[in-house]
Amino acid sequence: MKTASSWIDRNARYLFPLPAILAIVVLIVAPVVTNFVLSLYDYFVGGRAFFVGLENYQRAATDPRVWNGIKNTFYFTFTAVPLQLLVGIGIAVLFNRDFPGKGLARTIILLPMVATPVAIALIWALMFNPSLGVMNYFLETLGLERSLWVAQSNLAIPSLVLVDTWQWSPMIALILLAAMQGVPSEHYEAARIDGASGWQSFWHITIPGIRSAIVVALILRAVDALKTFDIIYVITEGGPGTASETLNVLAFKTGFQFFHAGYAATLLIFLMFLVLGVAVLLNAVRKRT
Amino acid sequence: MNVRPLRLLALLVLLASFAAATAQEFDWRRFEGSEIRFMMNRHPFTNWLEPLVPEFEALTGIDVNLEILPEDQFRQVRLLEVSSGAATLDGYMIMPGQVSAQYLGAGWVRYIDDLVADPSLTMPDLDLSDFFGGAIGTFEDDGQLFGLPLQIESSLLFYRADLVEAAGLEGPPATMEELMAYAAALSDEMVAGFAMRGRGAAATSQTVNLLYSFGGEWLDEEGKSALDSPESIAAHEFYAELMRNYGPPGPTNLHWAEVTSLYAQGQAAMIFDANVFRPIMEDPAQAIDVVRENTRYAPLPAGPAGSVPGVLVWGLSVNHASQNPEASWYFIQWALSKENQVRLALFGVPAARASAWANEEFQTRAPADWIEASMTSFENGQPYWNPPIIPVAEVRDAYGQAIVAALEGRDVAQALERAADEMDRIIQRTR
Repeated sequence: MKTASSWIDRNARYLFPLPAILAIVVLIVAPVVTNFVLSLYDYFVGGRAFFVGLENYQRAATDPRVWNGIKNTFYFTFTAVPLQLLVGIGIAVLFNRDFPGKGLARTIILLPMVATPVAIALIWALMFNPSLGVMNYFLETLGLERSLWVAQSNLAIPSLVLVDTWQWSPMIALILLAAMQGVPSEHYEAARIDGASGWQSFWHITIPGIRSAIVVALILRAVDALKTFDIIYVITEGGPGTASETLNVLAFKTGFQFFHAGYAATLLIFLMFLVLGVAVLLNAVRKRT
Repeated sequence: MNVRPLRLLALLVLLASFAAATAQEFDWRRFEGSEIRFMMNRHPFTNWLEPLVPEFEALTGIDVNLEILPEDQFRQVRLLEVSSGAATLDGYMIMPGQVSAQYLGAGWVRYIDDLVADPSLTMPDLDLSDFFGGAIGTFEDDGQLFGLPLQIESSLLFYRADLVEAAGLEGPPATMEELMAYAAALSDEMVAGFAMRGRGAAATSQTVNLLYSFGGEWLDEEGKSALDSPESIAAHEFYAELMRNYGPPGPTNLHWAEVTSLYAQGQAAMIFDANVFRPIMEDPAQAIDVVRENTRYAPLPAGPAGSVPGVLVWGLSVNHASQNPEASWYFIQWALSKENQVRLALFGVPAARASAWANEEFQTRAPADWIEASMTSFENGQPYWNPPIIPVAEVRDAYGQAIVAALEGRDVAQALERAADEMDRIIQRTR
């Protein structure tokens, strides 16, 4: 008994993290490695798998549909995330002051974030319907022209950005609100005594005070937006044609509809490096500030 | 003393013949206590079947688990389970027109001829000849059966008799030229003259009806894509003109749900989609009064090659890896029995048995023009509404891109050439 317990004592630093390491290996490392191995095969699900080396990567690099997918992924992410940041800052500023019914309003504004994405997407798909949907009714009430929304190629991604912004701005607001409440109120008092306007104290006190929180929110949202699947797939399936087909949606179709598992795995490796690249870049920005 | 062995022998003979007689007899309770799992598409048939399963369980003592998934996920999960040889899956819904090239090629089907031939396993009034020839035909592989059809469906023209009459026209359009003229006469600002699917890959199951009726085919004699043939170009130019001029706004967004709700809400004067959507047009919760009162049905108008709609057949198959093929076969027979096919037909799903269509109550329940138009379509129908190759979904996607291009006003011939090239590449790439 004694020897066993002393062995445990001596090796506690390896033993205690072991369950966590095992979980990481089983849930993260193993699938990534399997995915990489799969990407070296030409495997039509239901047929035989042929080892083809890097052929899938060669094909992906010259496949116009892959480039279209990468373009759409960036277009979607870098339109949606800045927009959400602006809306999120606005909401956070609003909730950083006291007004009656604040608690209730805060709960309501968080609802889009906690609702089921597929349910949200189905409702938006109905709302976007050019003939029967409520969005065109709103436009007409405002005296504007009816729109085709997701049914028109060049409006598909902007429409999806609208949904994503509606859904995720509250999360940015939540992160920034927490940061804002950490900015000491003395700073604002001093600024007021010095005669600073509201805009000046926002620009020179609030923003510098929450800068690192902004970067964190950006990283979280950007990484998530690059991988967005549910709302795009449910509302447009990547259409019309391939107008809103992101890399993730293309990989899904390739794997689960066209059943080319090897090629789909290759596309997912592309996506992984894309997400990794953006995350590393934003993290570098964070470290510099 | 001498009599005894003789008596014993007589007794044995008697017992043996008795046993043989009981073995011959079909007994619903023979597999009492078994448990089977069927994978089902969320389809009107499944909606009908689900509440009736306890009847089968009470009759046989077999426990049935239906695993129901929406169509896309259903296809993925079924493929994974069937290809992995999962023994826990006993049967599934299948549309041979969609996957038979793959399932037969990979040897995943469980032929049921041995079960059908065994009178102790097959109910006496199964009557295979009662199924429509076109329907059971899709389950035949070189004379062997790998399942039974549950429904046969085809697309019809749904049209508003009141609007047609108000426009001074008579009856349904019989030809493609008439369809164009009717759509023109019926379209005004509030109402689209005509609508059908336009959403890429999802639209191909409907546009293929035009392709066939204009004399087009999926493949030429050498097995290459024929999507860029002159017939196919003519069919899709017709489609683009019809939809762009007289269709609803945003045609590239139209799946069946959009098409049927446009019509049910009185926003389209004519639509072309599956005949199984008739119940929507009779449901006060979904269709406005004027639609419920004035909807009529007609077969696909004739093109240069006649009226050649594709027929879709869904059915049930036993999983090749099932440990309970007999109990599964019991379930299939019961679900597709004459009596249940009548009930299915009365529920509004086009049954695969001719006797269900001949049922008197059914004939009074379903509009006569719907029955007539459907049966005409089953007679003229083409069982392959999908390309007769393995990578069906990928080819439909490539063809779907051409449909979107056509609806967006791009050059139809060019779009089809690109789709045909892509289709050839896909066929070559899938090994």
